[in-house]
Amino acid sequence: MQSKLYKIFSPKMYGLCLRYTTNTYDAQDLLQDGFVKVFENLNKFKWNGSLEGWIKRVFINLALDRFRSRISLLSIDDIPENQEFPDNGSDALETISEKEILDYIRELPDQYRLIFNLYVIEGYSHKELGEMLNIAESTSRSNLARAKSILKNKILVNVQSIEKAI
Amino acid sequence: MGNFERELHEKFQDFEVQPPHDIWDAIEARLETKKSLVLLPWLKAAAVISLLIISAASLVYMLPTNQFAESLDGLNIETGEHIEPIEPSVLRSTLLEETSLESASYKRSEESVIIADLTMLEKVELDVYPALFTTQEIQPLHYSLTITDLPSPEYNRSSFYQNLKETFTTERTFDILAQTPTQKESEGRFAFSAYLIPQQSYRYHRSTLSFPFESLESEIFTFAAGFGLSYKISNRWEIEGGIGYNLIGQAVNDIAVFSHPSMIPLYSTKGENIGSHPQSMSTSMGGINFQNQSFYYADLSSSRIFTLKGSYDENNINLLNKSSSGLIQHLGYLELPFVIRYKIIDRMISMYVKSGLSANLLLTNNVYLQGSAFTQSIGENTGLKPFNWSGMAGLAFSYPLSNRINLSMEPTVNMFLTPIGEFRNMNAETYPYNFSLNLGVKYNLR
Repeated sequence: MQSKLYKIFSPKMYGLCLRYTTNTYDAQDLLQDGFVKVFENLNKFKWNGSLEGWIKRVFINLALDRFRSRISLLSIDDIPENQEFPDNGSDALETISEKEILDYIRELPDQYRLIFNLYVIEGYSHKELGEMLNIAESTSRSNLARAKSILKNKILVNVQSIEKAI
Repeated sequence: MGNFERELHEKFQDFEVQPPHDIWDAIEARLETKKSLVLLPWLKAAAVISLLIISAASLVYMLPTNQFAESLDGLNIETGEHIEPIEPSVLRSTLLEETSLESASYKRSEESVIIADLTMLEKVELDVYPALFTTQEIQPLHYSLTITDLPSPEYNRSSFYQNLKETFTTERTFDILAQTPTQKESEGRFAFSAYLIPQQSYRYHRSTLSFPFESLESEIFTFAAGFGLSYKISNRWEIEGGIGYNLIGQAVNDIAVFSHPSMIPLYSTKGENIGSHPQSMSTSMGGINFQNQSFYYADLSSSRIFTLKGSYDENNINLLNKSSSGLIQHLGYLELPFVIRYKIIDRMISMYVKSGLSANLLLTNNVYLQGSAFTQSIGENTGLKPFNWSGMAGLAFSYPLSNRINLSMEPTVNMFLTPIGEFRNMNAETYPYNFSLNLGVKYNLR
């Protein structure tokens, strides 16, 4: 049963772990911790919802734990909420691979990476993020804006270098 | 959600990567051993304590009951076969049944030798009759000893038995007159003690997080020292108050230390590469603020510090330290202990069980960088509470060097009863504990 569950869900969860960590060692460590926790708490799953969703939440909570373990030492930056960034990165996404984008996500500073993953990929709202991370909604918004700005710049630089090469 | 976000959401929502094959083996192994690993430290501690108690009790019991027994063994009495020692309570009750409450006479037959443990008696009187005579025919040789009047009962009891041994070499039968304890037992005595305490310092960490502190921190060897003033309530009970300095801590492993910050790409909270900034990290014994700004730190195993392994070029930096025990956290407490001891075995070496409480006030707080050839203070721990309670339990062995001075050795387990700090963001609690050997000298005051 355990090995079957692992076979089914490990590729997706490893993808998640890679997004939340900066190196392969940490990602594999998180993958191990996550599945150990899943198997230890499987009896708590009520089977009235999506098992994949439940497993994903276990992994996200673990990733959050790791971030919280040093959040007291990091200040999540508060920049003006109305600061705007040009929305010119979406076209460029077509031209570069998922692996390249993943690398850019993993290069983001911790707090930007965390908020970007939770908001953009997992689909949490800023209000939910504020409660989860004990920060103001505006802080969550500004950190997301900063993360997007960094990502877009990196993607654009990548695309321009490809175009030049062509 | 804009286009950019939506496209990224779609790309990564079902993003999959096949993990390495050996991960499953590691998970399976952890699932099998996890339960036993949780129990293991407590089982080990319980086994060590049990073994300690059993070994100590056996050793002390193997010592001669006292000099009296030795003397009687050497009498060479014609019918002097060895018999089991008579328990004090049995002896006393026999005496009391036969005569009065205050004193009693126990008449021995000629065929056997009595070996009595007299340690529960306060006063012993012994009448010795030469062979072939009865009590009516001759005045006995009379010996008397009031044990609890003496500063060191064990020491004086020995010399008393020595006298008996010399006399008994020609005697065959005797009577024992024993007086039961009187109100004098309630009189106490004071003693002053000084202790030096080598100890192995550990901590118990409880957290809802899965942060891997357990594998990244380890115990250290430290010392404590102090003074005590004890009061003997009775022959068995003793209380002691004291004051001392107790140094505890732990090693924080897998930290690399550099001297050239410009070689380390560090990001500010605005995402800019600024080359340097004040660093800090988390441990199970609080945060560490690195106050010495000339050093820079990186985490080799996890993500306790911003700078991670791989974010610097090891060939181009001046690596000061990259050992498995990079940092040492030292916490020094002013300790005010209160201890109760109960004597369970009274031989040449007395054995006690003890337990107690201690108030601990945080006095010193340091983090050291432990290099191969140097040790340097680099900062302090944060989030620690200034006051904690701790409890202790253990054994105590006392050996009388003279009628005033006793040597003591006390294997003890100490544990904080309150968490060492408030680490709210980590939702974690840490309780330091240690195994110590209290080596002491006790001076009996008049």
